[in-house]
Amino acid sequence: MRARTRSVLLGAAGLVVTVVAGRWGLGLFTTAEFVHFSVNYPTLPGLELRSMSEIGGPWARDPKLTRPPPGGLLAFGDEGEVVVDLSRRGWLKSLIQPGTLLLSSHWIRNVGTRSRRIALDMDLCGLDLEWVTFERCWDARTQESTRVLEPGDTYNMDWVVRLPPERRRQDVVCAGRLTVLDAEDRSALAVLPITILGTGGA
Amino acid sequence: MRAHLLRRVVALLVGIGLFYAPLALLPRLLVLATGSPLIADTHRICLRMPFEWALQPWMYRTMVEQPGYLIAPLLLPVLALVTGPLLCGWLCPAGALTELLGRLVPDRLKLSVGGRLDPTPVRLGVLAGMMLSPWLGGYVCCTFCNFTMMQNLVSAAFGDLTGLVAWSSFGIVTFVVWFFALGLLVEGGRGWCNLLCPAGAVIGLASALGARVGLAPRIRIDHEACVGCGTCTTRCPAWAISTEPEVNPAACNLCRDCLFLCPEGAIRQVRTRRTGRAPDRGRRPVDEQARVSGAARQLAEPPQSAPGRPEWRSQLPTPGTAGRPILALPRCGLGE
Repeated sequence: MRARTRSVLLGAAGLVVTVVAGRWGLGLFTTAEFVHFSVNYPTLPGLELRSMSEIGGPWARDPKLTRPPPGGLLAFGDEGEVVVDLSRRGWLKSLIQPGTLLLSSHWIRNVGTRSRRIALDMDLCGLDLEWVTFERCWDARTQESTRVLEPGDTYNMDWVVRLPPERRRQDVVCAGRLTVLDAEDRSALAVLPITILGTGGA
Repeated sequence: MRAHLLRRVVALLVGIGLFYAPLALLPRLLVLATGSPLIADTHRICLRMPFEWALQPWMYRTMVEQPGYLIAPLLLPVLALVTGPLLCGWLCPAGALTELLGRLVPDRLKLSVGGRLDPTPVRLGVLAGMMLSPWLGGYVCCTFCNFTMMQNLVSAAFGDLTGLVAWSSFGIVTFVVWFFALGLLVEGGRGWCNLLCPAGAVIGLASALGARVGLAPRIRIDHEACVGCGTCTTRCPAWAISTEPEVNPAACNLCRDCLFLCPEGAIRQVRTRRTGRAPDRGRRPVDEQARVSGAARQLAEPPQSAPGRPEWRSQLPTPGTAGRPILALPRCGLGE
């Protein structure tokens, strides 16, 4: 009985520590250091979309969503925009790598009814960017996918953003945006606002 | 023991080749088989996300569309049911790296946990926490991933520093805890595996079930021969041997270190159905004094260097069928 009680307590401790660590991790994951977000396209008016149940994935969890938003913080965050707050970064990150920020989307998803080849345009107010991807079908020169994405297919891209000290101290480092384009005619399919808030001199 | 260690090092290198880019043979095979447009690295066989998705039905379709996500929750437990935790003990590079490097760290700098803490409930609690975390406002699978950290280190060793360019606070915590706090600085070097690995928890349960029904091999201690020195308890990398001593099959990773460490040759690997608790006759609980001195003796005098000890290799029996020992050392009372 004593051994069983001890086991239950140990298991409960493992569970609680994991959940607490997960809450801490999520706070940084979505808002400050390693910001993952979703991108849906097309979302601009006049284009035919799949139903929410057909789209599936994380978006199907939210009954309030009647049509896919352009994207947003992936893990239970607000949909429709991405806001990065540098003042919420952990002290370890601030100490070791204050000048880098990772933006990441592994869910650039075709929610339309047509197959498309896409191009990406990341406007982050002139900040130095490095594009990194798991995709084999990516033309880094033209910033275009070299494969056709069927309805429901996802694409992924990470951006390592370099933040100079003087920019980090501003209230708003950048009010930028990610635009998903049709690679064939360069027409915009979705625009996702991305705002980076600085430390404001703190 | 040296030959055994050499095999472990070779297994580590094989594991790196199997799971991690640039070679990533298993992800490459998966990419080839499924026609995936993604590059082959360890992320194609994620050992964490599928467990978190288990309670998120809207992610099931993603798992079916990208079959790499089914490997951890389905294929690995089925394999473990038959083969035991071979992935954990032999092929997982993230565990083997810290274990093998930890052997270079002086013992006086390490925390000894074996025999003092049963890791299985903690690991199961962590698994449950990972599955519940999204419902409680948390996210664990990608934020605390030592597998990704290992990929970053392997890539860096091959000249690709991309993975080390942008660290996060939780990434730094993961590295410090996995590599140092629960790695090099604890006895066995596998604290992360023993306490925090969700894949290890599932594989451990499947292995224990497989051992119970006689499918998977398991480690058995011959209590007639055991003198209770405590060497196995102290040195087991998986913290799977209690002070009685008994082997916890849900924690054991089948690395077989104990077979080579036991000075009495009282430990062997068997593949036989478990018929209940071993009789107490002849059981010698580990004496704390003997445990310390036994461990110290092992450090000073590895078994293979003891004068007059017969070369165990020459006495290995033919690999047995069910119910017979697969590997027996001298003085086990078997094969003599």
